[in-house]
Amino acid sequence: MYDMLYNLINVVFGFNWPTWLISLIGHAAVAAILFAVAPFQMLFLTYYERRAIARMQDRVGPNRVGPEGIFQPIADGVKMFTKEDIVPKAADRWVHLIAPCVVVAPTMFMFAVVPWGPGMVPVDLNVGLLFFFAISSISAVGLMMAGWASNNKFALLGAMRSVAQMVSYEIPAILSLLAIVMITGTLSIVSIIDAQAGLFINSVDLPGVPDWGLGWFIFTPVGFLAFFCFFIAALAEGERTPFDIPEADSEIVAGYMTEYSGMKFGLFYLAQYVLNFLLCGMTAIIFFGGWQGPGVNWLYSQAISPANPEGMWLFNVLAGVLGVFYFLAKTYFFFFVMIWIRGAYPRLRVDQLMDFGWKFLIPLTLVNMLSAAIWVGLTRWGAAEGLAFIEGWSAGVRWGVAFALTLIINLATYIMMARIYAASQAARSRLELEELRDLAAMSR
Amino acid sequence: MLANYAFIGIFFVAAVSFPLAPLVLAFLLRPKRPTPIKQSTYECGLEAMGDMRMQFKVQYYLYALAFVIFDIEVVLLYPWAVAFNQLGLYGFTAATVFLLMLFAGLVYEWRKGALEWV
Repeated sequence: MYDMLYNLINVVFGFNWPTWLISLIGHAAVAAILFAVAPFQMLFLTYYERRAIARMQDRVGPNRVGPEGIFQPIADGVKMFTKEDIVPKAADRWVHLIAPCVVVAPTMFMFAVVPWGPGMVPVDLNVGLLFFFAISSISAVGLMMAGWASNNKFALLGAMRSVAQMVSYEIPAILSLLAIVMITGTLSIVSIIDAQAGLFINSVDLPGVPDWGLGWFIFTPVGFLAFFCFFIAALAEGERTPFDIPEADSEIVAGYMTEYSGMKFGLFYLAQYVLNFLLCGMTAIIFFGGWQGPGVNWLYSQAISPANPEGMWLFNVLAGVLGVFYFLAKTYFFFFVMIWIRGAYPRLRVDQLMDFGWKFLIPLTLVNMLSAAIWVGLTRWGAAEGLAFIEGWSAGVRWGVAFALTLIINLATYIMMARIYAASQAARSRLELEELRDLAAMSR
Repeated sequence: MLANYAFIGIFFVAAVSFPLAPLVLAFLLRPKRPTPIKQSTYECGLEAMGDMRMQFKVQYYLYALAFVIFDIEVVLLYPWAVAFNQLGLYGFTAATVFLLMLFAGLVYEWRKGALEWV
């Protein structure tokens, strides 16, 4: 995209500006566009969620403001701006003010490494994935500040719960991504997308497979288990039902947001929806190929890019539009799945939440890393790496053996872990039942 | 590569200033009529009782400790995972030993009851 801008300014208009100036202007413009788009994205997501959840609960949802209620979120936004900002006397004024900013700033900062289409990434960092998750964990500090500064029991309880939940589910999220990183051998998000060309079989694993942009990691046993673990962890990171314990409105009012009103409350809301959008986008990027899809790679090969400076800018536009369409379609699909889960499942208890993260997801992701190692060994290695016996195998046989072996390992681990976990949960509820019986006997 | 981080810097400045704009706008637009009742701490309509910053379950602390241990191990695994393709069987064996120790730690915590929510 920056090459296109360079071409436009220096070749078409003939200004001959230096490269650094053009990329500076380009990046500033991209930052401005993204930060203007993000609030509208969030407004649309709130509308979308309210309408979808209403349908699932056999209601209509907001439908009065504008056609089909499409202007409802804008009316809500206007209300946020004009509401009085109430700060309790007992609260710590400054920390109370800074907390929403500390929550919002990292979520916006995370946009810096998210690719939207072919060649359309604000900054292609070589440690993009690490950057994304390092920044995402900063908002936990903001939540703790909010809960502590409010000086309210509900707020502090909510903050404690949300921080405990976020740190617990960060480990399975990162461990499941490490399996993918082992296969791609890079932390750059753009390279991870590029590695997902092919048709059901990755073109890196099986050279010569036709490139329809469908070689997604979800089609491998390793990627499937990683996706499963990552999406559940993402639900918990984004505080979505069934993991919305930090703001369980029937238990602790609104959690850390209890003492917030007006625009400060709006900022928390904004951060939450933008984070959910980014997590859905990350799921789409890492397991479903991001902007990869039929046609995008062919269009981009005709366009102006570092590899092909002689291309036509029309193909840049076409590839960009198609790529962004694929990316947003996948992202909105996962957001819909989040709403669907909200409509289908009740909230978990705190102990169930913690048990599920530590005793089920973490062992599963650790075993998945072993599967990823086997996958890389069987599909990429040879005598030089110490696996002389697979030297003679063809690429197809290697892929088949790797697929079967990792499928067996992952399936067996899943069944075993599910049994252990179910047994421990059953033992726990038996214990609780006995305690209740004892209490009843004592009171009688 | 260094230029990339300069642009990350641009994004950082933009991201930090992003929440300030709506806050300033809301400050100009909103009414300001505080009363003692409004400014009291919310506690289901009752007057707030006791100290808000009370003692907490020790479980939160134990989970935080376990998180720190695991997070450091994950950070050590990042460079290994990136270079895994070139490491060969030796790198695989070394990391397996490391991961087994990680796993043993998890099992130890589990058996000791550090992961129980009582």
